[in-house]
Amino acid sequence: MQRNRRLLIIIAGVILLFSILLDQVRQHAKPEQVSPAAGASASPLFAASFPDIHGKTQPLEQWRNQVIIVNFWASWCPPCREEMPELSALHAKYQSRGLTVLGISTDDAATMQQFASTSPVSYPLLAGDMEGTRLAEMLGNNRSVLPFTVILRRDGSLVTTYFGRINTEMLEQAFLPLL
Amino acid sequence: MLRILLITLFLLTSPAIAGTSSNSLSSLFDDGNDAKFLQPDQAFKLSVSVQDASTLQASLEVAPGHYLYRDKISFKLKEGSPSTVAAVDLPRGEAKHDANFGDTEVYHRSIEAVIHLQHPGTPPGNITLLASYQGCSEKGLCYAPIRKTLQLDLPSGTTKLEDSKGTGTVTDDISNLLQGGQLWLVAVGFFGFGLLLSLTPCVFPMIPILSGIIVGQGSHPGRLHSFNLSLAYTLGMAMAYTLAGVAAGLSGHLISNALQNPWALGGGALVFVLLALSMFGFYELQLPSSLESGLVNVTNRIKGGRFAGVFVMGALSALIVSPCVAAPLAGALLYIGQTHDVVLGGVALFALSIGMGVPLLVVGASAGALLPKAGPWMNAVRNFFGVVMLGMASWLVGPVIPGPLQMALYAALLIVSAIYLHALDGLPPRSSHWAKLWKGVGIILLVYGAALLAGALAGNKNPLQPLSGLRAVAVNADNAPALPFSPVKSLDDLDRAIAQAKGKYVMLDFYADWCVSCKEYEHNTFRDVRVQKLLKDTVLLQADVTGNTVQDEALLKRFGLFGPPGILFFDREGRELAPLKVIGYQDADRFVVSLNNVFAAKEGECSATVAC
Repeated sequence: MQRNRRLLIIIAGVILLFSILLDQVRQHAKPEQVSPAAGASASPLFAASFPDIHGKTQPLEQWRNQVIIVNFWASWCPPCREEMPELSALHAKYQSRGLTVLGISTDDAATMQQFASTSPVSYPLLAGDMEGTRLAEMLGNNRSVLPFTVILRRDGSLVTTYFGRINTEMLEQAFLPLL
Repeated sequence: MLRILLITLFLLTSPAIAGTSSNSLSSLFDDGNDAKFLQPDQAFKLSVSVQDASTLQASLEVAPGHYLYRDKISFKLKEGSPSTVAAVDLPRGEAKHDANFGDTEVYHRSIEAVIHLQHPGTPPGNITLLASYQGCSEKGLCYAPIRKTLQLDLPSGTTKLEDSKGTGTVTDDISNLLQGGQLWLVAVGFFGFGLLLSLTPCVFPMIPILSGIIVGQGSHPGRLHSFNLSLAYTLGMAMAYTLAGVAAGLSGHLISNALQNPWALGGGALVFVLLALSMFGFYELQLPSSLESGLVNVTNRIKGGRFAGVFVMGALSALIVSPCVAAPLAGALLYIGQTHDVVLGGVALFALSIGMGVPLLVVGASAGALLPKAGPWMNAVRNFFGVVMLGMASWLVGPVIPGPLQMALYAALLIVSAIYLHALDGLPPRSSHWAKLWKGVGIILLVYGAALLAGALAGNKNPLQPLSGLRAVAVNADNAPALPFSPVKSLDDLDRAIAQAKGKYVMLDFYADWCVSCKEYEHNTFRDVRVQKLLKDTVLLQADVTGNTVQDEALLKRFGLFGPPGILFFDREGRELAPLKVIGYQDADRFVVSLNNVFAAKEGECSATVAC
């Protein structure tokens, strides 16, 4: 009888584990968080300038000395659009404490402006176009993934980069200590 | 008790599995990568072959869980070349509703595109093709536009190298897997899929049959012996599926059609009843002695003669539960039927059934240990399975008897079981906790049985809501009247109806009296208010293929179906929306999602809770 019970528990355990595993698997995978790649540097970021939603060219130099979340996105990319409201809320909430969210689109200026007019956000949106894609690569996006998100310290050094959809909680964990 | 627990556990875990069944194959594979996502070139693979001097064939492989945007696929020739790309033929994609761009078409599966080149003079010896495409992963990320440059040598003449193979739309994950198929990958995939199926109630009826066989051995069998018995049983089941698949592929007919006629169902039910009665101890399962002595002679001479019997038993039970595994079978059979790749199809179905048999093997391996040795305890277990088998018998004949009669059968079963559980006997003072528990269970069965009986007498059909007919009339019921289908008898009928429906969507439902899932559609899905609302402006056609006439077969064949249930959709221009066809049963929630995919173009019909 003792042996029967043990066998039963093992079987039950295996089945339970299997179903839990399946359940996990069906959840959306978490984005991959990686330390900045060797050679990835923020200096090209501050050297760049892109048109904003009004078509006015904005040098990125102006956001130096802040904690920055740089979010590379595109209007055709559903997960990018999903996370924008969360980024917008973060920018609004922590702007006074020295956080800036920058949304650099890989769309061209016209496409981005049209998108911004229908889905406004609290943080600056810039049209990076092809140049934006290259900039993301220099910041460590070696897999041409969107959304791609980078957090920078006040001194301009890279903290972490994220491939894929991010969420408020994980970003807060990363940038709150820096503020 | 242990075994009851085990079975309960199976049933509990099955809902977790059931939801995944439609795409469990794809998730099976792409989730091997954990949270890591694919490199762009792993997610989407492009290869281009030269058909002739002015035709290229491009194939884009899309990894499971990823999709490509149809309108972002572009092929151009390098600037400076006098030749140009005249046209690119892309297959229709699946509609995807996008909040910002309206409707876009995407490909979740690999596609073939034909590129037509135009040369002003004689075709050049080689060209430089610039390809660009972009897409996303369902895991919440997208890939920036991928650009490829390919150097291709063109043949000097304009002779066609070979006929391009037909690009039949493959509608099923399973067909897709088969098509991509390395043999071992297919085998492993189908084994896993069978494993998932085994956790659904599909295999449930087999467990009592098998334990009946093992218990029926009389003296408690050794563990190895009972494992061998269950192995023989599983192999029998596997063989039945494999043969069914191969035969179906070769003949182009669906064998399970034949098995769902009243005679086969009635026969299956009879087997269950006979088994149940033997469980109750009315008799021991035994062949007439003259026949038996003859058989004994034979089986004694052939080693493992007894296993042959069990093997046959497994094959028979496979046929009985086949409606349960209709969807995966349909996918596999579709492929075999279209390609005549009998070996691959056979291997796939064999692996599927072995996977399904795993819990049976577990039961068998443990039976020597898990089954109680003897005594009153054993009798309780046997009685329990007897009741379960009688329930199975009533369920099996459900499609061919009137609904109220089926409910009355359930009622009789429950009430009689309740009496056996002493529901109506007074409990002696200071009786054991168990006695009290069983009496409680008995009373629940009795009350439910009485409710079923009352419902049956009131002409009700739904055993889950036996008294619903007795409620006040016209509550704002979830259950609206049946959908107003117009019958379609032949291909001509169908073409006429579709032509008349111009400007409206058309839904064609394949139905048969013997088809269990069709009944479920009728009773549940089609009566759902959301489904009815979505289908308000749709022309509803129904092909009743109960008779399996030549015309019925022609209808099924046109759409590559092997039998009902199958639901097809046609757009406003009367074109079939092949990728969106629904094979197998979907409950209202899933069917609403399917409908939304069909009507993705209809603005405002998508509710927030439903993926569009």
